[in-house]
Amino acid sequence: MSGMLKKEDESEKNVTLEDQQKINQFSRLLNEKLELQAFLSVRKDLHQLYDDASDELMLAADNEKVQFAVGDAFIFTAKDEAEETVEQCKTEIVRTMEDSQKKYDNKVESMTQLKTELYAKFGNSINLEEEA
Amino acid sequence: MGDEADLSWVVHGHADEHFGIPKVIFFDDVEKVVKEHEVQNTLQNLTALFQRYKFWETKFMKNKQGLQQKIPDVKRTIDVVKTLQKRSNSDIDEPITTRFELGDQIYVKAEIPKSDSVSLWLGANVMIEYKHEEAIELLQKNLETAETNLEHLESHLNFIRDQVNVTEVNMTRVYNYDVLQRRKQPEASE
Repeated sequence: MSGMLKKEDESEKNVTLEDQQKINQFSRLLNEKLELQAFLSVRKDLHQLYDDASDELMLAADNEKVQFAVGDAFIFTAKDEAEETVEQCKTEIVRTMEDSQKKYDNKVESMTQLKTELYAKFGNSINLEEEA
Repeated sequence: MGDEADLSWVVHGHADEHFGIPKVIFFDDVEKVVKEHEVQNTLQNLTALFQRYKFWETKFMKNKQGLQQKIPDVKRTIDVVKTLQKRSNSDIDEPITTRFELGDQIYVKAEIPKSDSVSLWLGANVMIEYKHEEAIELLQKNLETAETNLEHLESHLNFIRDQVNVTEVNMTRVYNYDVLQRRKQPEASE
């Protein structure tokens, strides 16, 4: 776990309650950041899928019905209706992605701030880097 | 957890808003704690506490994963009902043609005649037929409940993780203090 003081450090600085709270805060941010990261990567894949779907739809004949996945079943849908739905889904995904990206950037910013403060006090006796 | 260690001096009573999970005490003064309780004893108690927190963390994580799976499922169900509703409100009278999974890897074509209701499986071997609006309303309510629960779980998990961090830092500080003390009085004591 990051946020842990390295053992066997000779010049131990006194850890105050305030420092502890910063460490806790940092750890929360890290967790949230990782979750957002996972969320974003899933959305990105999904967006790619919808992109592919709309490409395929363009190639389909106009009078051909497409099988559109709704829940666990496929519904035979008119092409233009399917196109409309795909576009709607895409817009929705882009919106949530922008939203999450903003949150993500905020987390990273707060983490950088805390990192600066904690490293300034504890130097090498604290490790706040993510394990590769 | 069946350990009988007395943890009363490393935690503050019980935090009621988090299922009575106790809050760990941050050691303001490591020296004082160690003088009163000895290094080995302190570390042992903190380790026991740490394991309890980890146990709770795992438990809450499991609940969270369950909900994270359930929420998209409910959303998908709502989508399906909405699709049916859209068709039943339109002036198209022909049935909806679908292809659905009859069994593992077997798909068949089926037609859904125009209708204004669906049946929801409520569990406990009960299935009830609802009008589309009512079904959506009910599912929406389920979705909201699940989302609120997830929020609460999130806050419990954050609380537990804070306790894990404080406990870890306490342990490290006690350990470091001990190492420093030993270095200060080297061979002299032997």
